[in-house]
Amino acid sequence: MLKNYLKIAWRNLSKSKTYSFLNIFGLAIGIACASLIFLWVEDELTFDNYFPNKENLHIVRTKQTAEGHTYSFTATPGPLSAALKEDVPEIKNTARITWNQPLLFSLGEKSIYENGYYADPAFTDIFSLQFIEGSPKTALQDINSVVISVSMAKRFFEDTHIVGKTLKINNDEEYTVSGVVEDLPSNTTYRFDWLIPFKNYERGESWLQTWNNNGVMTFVQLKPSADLAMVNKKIYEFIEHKTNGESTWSKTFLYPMARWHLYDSFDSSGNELEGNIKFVRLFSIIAWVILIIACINFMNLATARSEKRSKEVGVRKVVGAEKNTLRIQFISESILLAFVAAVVAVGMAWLSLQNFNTLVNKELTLGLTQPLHLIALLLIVLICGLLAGSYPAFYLSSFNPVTVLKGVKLKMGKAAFIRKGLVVLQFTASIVLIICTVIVYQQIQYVKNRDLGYNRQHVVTTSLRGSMKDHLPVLREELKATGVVENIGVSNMSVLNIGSNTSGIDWEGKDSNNDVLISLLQSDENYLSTLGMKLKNGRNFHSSLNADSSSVVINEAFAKLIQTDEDVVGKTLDRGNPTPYTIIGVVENFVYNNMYSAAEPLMILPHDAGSSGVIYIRLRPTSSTEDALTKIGEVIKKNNPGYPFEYYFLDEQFNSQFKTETMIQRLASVFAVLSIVISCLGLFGLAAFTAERRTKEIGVRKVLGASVPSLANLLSKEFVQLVLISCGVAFPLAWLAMGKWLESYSYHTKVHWWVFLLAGIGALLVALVTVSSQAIKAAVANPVDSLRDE
Amino acid sequence: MIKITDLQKFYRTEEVETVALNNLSMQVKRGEFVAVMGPSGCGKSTLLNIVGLLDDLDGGSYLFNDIEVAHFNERKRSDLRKHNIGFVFQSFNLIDELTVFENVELPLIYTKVPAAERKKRVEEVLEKVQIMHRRNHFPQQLSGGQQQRVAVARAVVNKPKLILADEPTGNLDSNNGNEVMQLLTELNEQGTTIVMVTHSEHDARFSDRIIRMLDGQVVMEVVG
Repeated sequence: MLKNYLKIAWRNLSKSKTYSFLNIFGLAIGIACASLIFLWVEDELTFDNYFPNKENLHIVRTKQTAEGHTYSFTATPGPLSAALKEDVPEIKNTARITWNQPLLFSLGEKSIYENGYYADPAFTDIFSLQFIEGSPKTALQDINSVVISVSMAKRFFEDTHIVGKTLKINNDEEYTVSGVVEDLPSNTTYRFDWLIPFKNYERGESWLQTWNNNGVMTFVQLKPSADLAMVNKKIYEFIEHKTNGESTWSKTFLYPMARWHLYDSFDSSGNELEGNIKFVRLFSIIAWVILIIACINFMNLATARSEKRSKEVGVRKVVGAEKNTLRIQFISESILLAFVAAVVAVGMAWLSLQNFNTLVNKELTLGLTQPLHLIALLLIVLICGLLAGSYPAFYLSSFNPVTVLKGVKLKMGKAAFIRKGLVVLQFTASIVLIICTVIVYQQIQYVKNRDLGYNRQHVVTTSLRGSMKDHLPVLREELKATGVVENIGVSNMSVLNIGSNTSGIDWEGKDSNNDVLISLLQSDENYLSTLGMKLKNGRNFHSSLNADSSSVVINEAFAKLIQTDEDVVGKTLDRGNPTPYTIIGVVENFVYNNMYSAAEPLMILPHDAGSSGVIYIRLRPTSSTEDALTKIGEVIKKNNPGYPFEYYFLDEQFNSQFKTETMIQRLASVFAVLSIVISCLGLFGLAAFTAERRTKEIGVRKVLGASVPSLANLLSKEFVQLVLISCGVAFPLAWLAMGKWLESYSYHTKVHWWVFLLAGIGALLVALVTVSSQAIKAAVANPVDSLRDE
Repeated sequence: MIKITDLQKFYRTEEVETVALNNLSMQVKRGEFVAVMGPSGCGKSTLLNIVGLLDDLDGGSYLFNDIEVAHFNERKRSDLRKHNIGFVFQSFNLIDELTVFENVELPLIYTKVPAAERKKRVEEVLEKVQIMHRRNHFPQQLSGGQQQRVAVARAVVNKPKLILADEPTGNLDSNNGNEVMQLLTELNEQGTTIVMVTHSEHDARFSDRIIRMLDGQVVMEVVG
């Protein structure tokens, strides 16, 4: 029986090629889109699944509250790890690592920056690292040893049998390779290419022995029997206990590995917020919407074409088919079609995977040999087949054999109504997607074009590394002497991410109940002028920073906080140092950290000569970038031999702050375009069948004197109406959704009415072009042909 | 075999109600060959559809093999039909996407006859209507006469007790028409009951009895 169904389904497919193409192509685009999205979703949901201890692995988070604002971060005090392991019986093991940092590794002539961590020996065990070479037990024991990844080993040695060989780090010490570990998958939160014993980092860093400095990450592996809530209750005031009540400030809790990637953000009350899981949900919805749009095509084309099948239905019923047998037949047909579409879709997905990976910045593979992927694909086929096939199956199987065999034209009332409703649904979804995409784009542009309070154009930045920091005055002179540089400023960290802040700063008239976190930045005297920041009041540091060692420049936001009628310049700030800071100037607010919000209070201290940081080099606008970079590179290499010259443009760094938003916007625009394409494929098919169905009417009208344009108009009108109704539904939906989305940013653009107009006109034009070709074809046809067969 | 008493059938649209069959009574005995004649619109086809259990009735009684079927639902009608009744139409009504063999096989599929048995029976009946050599062709590759022979083959493959033919020669030239009438006569001689609607006096002469209809009623019966 099934063989018979499939045979006739196949013959039907190959007989009406346009129809089959529209159906299969539309459905294939839909399935390909959905498959790519689901691959992305899978990658997100399986983050850190590489680690067998995932269930019991946690990172210690610190929570601090100031001015009713709770900050939560993963930086912890150095002694915490050992103390937790000793004091808390539920904890099986602990390990510390530093922040991921690039170190310059060299072998002979080859020098590459590689990222990694200084890590406690237990790290290898907790994270079950797979050693290809060396032993996990001893690899992180010797202070000058380094464990490297397979890919790093191949970069340097083109081989993994390299235990015992040495690599030079930062052109200084030689380190012996003590182990080679498997590369971690790309969907791992803490990836690395090298691990160096934590002991090495610890020497000479006395602050690591104290409880009031948060500088390392601490991982905890619980015993399988442990209850997380219980442990968290126990360790909440751990630091307070350990310091005998001295440090009441920091609270600690364990944060499970399963949430690191998908959540990992906290609101100002310290409650966990949804992070990437939001996008996972959003895109899963989009995937289903696209699939449904594609399935609607099938439903509509199948019912529109029902006349072609009506005789078959009649005959089958006469010779003994029941409704249910017919339904099974039509559903198996649509499943067959979905299957063919899925095969095409796999090809499409394969072809577009690379571009998709670039778009979402991942390393996804189709993984067709994975049973999960195959099952998922089969499920999609089944769901699409059932979804698309069920309505036509019920519709077609309900035909009365007497009527259809007599050749009486079917009344299309109810079916036509449903079909129109489905078209409206398709276009509504497409128009909403288009509007959302445009508004997301506008918001990103709006923030990108915002006046930051400094000039980010023509600024090259590089890290102060190696011996550069010792040669700073020479370096500055030589850079200026190249003629391509206008100004050079130095600070301790990037202007985009000022990661240091402090509370406990006092000033005259401060509300003692109101302890505010103040961001801290260090800069030299040329920093403000190099970046084009403006002093509102007072003066900048003197060129001899030593004379200004207790001077600070604050920003307007801080000045406002001090709330004095007099000039804040000259006032003092007490941070518990022997000499209080004196405010020498107020700089106009500039945006940092959160590009969507206003500037937070900030205090700029003089930059310690000889400490690390970043250099900002403002190029002369007249000099060519290429020439300037060559000249700057020469000077920097001369002053910092052995290091490659690595530079960034400030405006590019700024743009990369919008990576997630840009990715979301690009993805959404791709899907918006595809949803319109799929909808139009369906519309094209419908228009073709409408034209065919109405040939006799058109013939009669033509004989009676109707003109071609008036006929084309007659045939297109119906579809234009549908698109207009879709606009009516889509506009309020999009307006509500995007209004709400924009509100989540404190610095946001408005919802412009013309976006809606454009999206509407766009959809209308696309629909019109799709439909009119069919309408015109029908209208110019010779009426004799259509009337003769009556 | 068929006993119809006071049969009524109306067609309704929103505004008008048309009487198609008006208190019609008739009988067909087992093994009979009955022709139904009458002008267009007199209700012949409607009667045939009701006799064939394709359509329901609005009043009266219909005994098929002494079972009252007037109140049967679609499912029961379909079940009775597929085991007992074969149809031959004026416009053949073969499925274009199926080959000759597959078209004839269709009723056997719906009555769940096993594949090997199906093959045997289809081949048998195709031999009988002399179309075996065309078994793998599609209907559109055949002449009208050949198509109607396939349709007859399809109608008899399930060995029905009753064959209903609606103007079986209407779309055929006289040679092909005669061939089809020969076939029907043979079937009748082998014991199959046949009810045939026709416009053709020539065809009607093959029957045992002619029922003449007008305006939804039987006006005359002539025994041949």
